[in-house]
Amino acid sequence: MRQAIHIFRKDARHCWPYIAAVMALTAVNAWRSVHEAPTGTHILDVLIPFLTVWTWWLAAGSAVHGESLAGDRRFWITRPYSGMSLLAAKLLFLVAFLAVPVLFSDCVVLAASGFNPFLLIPGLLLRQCDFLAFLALPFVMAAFTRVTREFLVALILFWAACYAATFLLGPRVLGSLAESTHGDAPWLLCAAGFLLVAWHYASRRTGAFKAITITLGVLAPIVMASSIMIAGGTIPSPTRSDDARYRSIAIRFAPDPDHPNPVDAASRTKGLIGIPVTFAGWPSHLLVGQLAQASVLDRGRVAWSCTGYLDRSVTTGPDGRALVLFVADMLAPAGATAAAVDLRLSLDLHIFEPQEGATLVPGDGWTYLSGFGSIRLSEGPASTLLFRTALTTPRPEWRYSLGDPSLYPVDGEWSGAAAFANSPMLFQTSPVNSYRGTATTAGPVVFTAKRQVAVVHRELLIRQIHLADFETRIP
Amino acid sequence: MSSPIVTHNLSKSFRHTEAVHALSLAVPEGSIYALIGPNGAGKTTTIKLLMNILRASSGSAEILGRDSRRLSPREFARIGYVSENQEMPEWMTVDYFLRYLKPFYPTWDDALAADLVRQFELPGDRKLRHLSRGMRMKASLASSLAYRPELVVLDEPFTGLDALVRDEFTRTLLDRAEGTTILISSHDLAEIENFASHVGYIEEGRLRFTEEMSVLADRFRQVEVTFDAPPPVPANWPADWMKPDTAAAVVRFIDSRFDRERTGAEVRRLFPTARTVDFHAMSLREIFVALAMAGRHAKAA
Repeated sequence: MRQAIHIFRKDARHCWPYIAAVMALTAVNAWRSVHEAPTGTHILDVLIPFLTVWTWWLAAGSAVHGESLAGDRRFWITRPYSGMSLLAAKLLFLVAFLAVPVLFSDCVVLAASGFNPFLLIPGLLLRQCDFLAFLALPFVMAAFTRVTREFLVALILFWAACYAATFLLGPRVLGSLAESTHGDAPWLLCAAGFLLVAWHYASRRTGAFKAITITLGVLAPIVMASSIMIAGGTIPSPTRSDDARYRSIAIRFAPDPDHPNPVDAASRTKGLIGIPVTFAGWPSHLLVGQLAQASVLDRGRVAWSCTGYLDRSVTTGPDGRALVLFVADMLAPAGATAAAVDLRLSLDLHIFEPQEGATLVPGDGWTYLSGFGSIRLSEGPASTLLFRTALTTPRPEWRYSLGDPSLYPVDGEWSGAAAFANSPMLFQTSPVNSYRGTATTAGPVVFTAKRQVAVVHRELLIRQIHLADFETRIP
Repeated sequence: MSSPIVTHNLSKSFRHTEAVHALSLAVPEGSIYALIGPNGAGKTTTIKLLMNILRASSGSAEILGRDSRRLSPREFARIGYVSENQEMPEWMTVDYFLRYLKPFYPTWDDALAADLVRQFELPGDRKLRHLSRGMRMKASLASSLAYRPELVVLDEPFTGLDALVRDEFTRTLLDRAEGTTILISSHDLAEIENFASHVGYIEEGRLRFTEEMSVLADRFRQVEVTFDAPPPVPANWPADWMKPDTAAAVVRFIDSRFDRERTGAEVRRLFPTARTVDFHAMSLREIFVALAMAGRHAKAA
């Protein structure tokens, strides 16, 4: 260990420009994460993370090159170096000058964003593991090369190979590859990279190391490309559930016998159909979301169908009234809305329960809502809702409402920074994801987080209905 | 006497090229062993095999009693290695380089290191990248002698050095490494001749001979035979007589197995009309050139 620390001190002395750059960029990243909400549109949102990543890689490469493993002319190979001490020194460098500053910066950013870092220790440690996996590539590349120039070329070529694999193989092949390995292959490859370098330090068998690395290097871009592709994918939708608490919910076609269509003929929007329905067995505190499909049947088979939604302006209050809206004239055959048809409505009811809430005052600091994230309102006459999640993307089952918490939940139309990636090739420089929500008027506003507790599927068959009778106006 | 370096049929091939072939040698303890040979003969490859920088294709070597493939930090702490093409940590100053290496060696002698720096007139505060080639070699040697190694291995240390630096280098090596076993490969035969106790001649990866310097010097003689008239060249020219040269009434050759009586008798048998026979001692360089030429002629034939 004494020798490892001795080598580590030498590396610290040699690599001080890189260390200084890492510290400076980490500080800038932290400052921007705290004080700005990167939207991905400003050049600095791209430039600073880009510089930070490359500085991390160059620092790691420079430390490894201090005792280059490649080549047979290096001074150290005939000196009494212990392979394990050398490896320990290099890992110590990665931890001390790259991982620890990231951890420290993460804690500062989280605390400043309203999160308690001590409650996020497992997530922070996992992020450190992700970070070390992210450094596996430069670590192996540095062990494979002799000088910085070769190192940079190798890194760029590897990245180019990854993107080439992405384009050549496409999402289907890479997706099935990721599925067959449960997404573990890239992480195992990083672990293999570290083990390979450890073996190289112990054995100093550069020829064999190069042969194995080149073999892995041919496969690695494909494996890594699969993780990059998945990382860029969409957040999966929650799956349907069959929660016993909601089995009693039933949907019924409920036209007003006196006024089948309360909208006067002149105000109707052609082709926009609103089917009045009521829900039975509906717990009053629940709020429902959205997806519906309207299918017109011809002798029991679907003749045509279109997607619709449950009108959000209609609350599912105690009377359980609502409107299923869809635009019929896009896909329907000519005159289809005038004829009597059998209509089947299929609804995925996303059921939300109100959770924790807070009164937000523009310009105040971050408010942490358990399980949801941190929120605040920006200053200004039309303040904006700002939302942050720690160490993860927003959970798809969480929504919110502003104002009356009994209202239908506002869709999570967040805009902001990229999602956290599940790839060892990508590492987000900030521990928080920042998003912008709805613009509100000036003044305090009640914010209520809402969690989706179930997705209940219901179907309603309405026989011999004239859709034209239910044309309505845009709500 | 034990041998700090012993090789058994050591061979190294690079794809289709055999750089070292079945090399067997033993470097006696306390000796200064010069490994000589023409360019591309396999000297540097042999040394890299001994230092475990390269892996042998076959055969084995023992360094300080340990298989060269298993040399550990413990053995390297007893070995000093200096090579003409070694890449140094250029960013270090001379002082820091020595300070950095010190903890690696339990036997490091600060006073000796300081003496070496002083003797070599090394600028302690200058970075290695800013040193001349001669200075870098001196720094490398200083860093390899300061812990009093049992074995010093020098690979072409004199290449590119001027006469003064060579002299300083050699003098310090001999002063500071007294009793140490030294293996040195070099083209500078005149320099080596002054201090080598043993010599091994390697050519095309094969060790042609290995023996004590004094024995080698006794074994080689340039023989000059003079006649009254140009003599006929005998058909059965002895295999040990190299580089025959006939000019007018003089025949010259090199006897590689010289024995005054036997060589004299053989000359008289082959040249009964000889007027005089003179034997001249040869320098290592002359021997080396003769051997190299003989090798080329044999290859051409």
